[in-house]
Amino acid sequence: MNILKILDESLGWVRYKPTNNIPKTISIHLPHSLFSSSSYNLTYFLLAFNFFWRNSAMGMATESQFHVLAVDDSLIDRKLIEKLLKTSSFQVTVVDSASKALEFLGLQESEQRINHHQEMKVDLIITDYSMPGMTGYDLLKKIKKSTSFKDIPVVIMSSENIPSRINRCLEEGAEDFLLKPVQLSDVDRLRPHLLGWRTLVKI
Amino acid sequence: MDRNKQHRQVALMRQSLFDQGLLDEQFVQLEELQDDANPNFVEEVVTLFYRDSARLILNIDQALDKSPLDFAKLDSYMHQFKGSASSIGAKKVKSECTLFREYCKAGNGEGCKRTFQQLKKEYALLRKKLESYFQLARQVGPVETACRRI
Repeated sequence: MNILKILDESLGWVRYKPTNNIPKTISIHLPHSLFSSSSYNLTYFLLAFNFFWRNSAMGMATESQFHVLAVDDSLIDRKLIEKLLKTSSFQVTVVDSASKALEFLGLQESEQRINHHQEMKVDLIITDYSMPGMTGYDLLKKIKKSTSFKDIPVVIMSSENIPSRINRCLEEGAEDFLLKPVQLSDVDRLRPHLLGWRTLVKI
Repeated sequence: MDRNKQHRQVALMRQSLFDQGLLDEQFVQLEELQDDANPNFVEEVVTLFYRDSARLILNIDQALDKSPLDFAKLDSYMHQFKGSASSIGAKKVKSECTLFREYCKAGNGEGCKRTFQQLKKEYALLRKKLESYFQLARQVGPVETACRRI
């Protein structure tokens, strides 16, 4: 229960009851003020929680790094997104097309289906919208239709700020939409999506 | 003493690129990504941009020579080019790209050609200035870039 103790002592936001046996689930009671004030507090809390979780004994059971699959046909943008993600301590795989992304995931029908699953687990997919051949939107749809990968959060990037495009992507199940050029602050926004907190809390 | 003077020179050179409207905030973002693991990151990205975009410049030049002009194709090339220029913070080049695309949408061939000539000038000028800047910065050695916000 170290992580909760740390949170309680440092943030003063968490109440916990130490027990002798290791529980399967942990209930965290958050103060109401966290939700009624600006979402900044909640995001801060989630980021702090994530940080402490990953650095605690309990966090060791989970993966030490999130693996992001980045998809972009632009050479410059690939270099950029790779650096952004690595700087933010993500493990990164970059591909230059949607079909290569599907191949990597193992969704492509190919003669040799290599079982990547264990080491190549993908925690988040970030893809450019406008790509020749299969667009990021097509890729999003394919992923959300697949039984094995539909739960992987997908984030779309685009240089064009077109509300109808953004809405279409969000409706199709994209977690977020980032305007290019993507910055470090945008990449910071990805972590709550990776934690899966969105399913518990609607910010 | 000489060292400090050189550092100042680098800083002034850097600031002038912003003051002249050649670079924007995105360039600062690139600088912030530069670290001990990638001490030449900014220069690498810029070099990559010039190498990668040379192909697009050629494609656009060739497409502008055709008659009649394929505005959809021109716009598509320029969309790609603008994206890359934007990613390195090339402010003036980016605005020429925007202008070019507007001429494409309007079906104005002459406007496209004129703008593209101007774009190539800005593109070459930026390259020269950045090359000088990187060269001087490398001579002087790594320094805490006091990122003066533009």
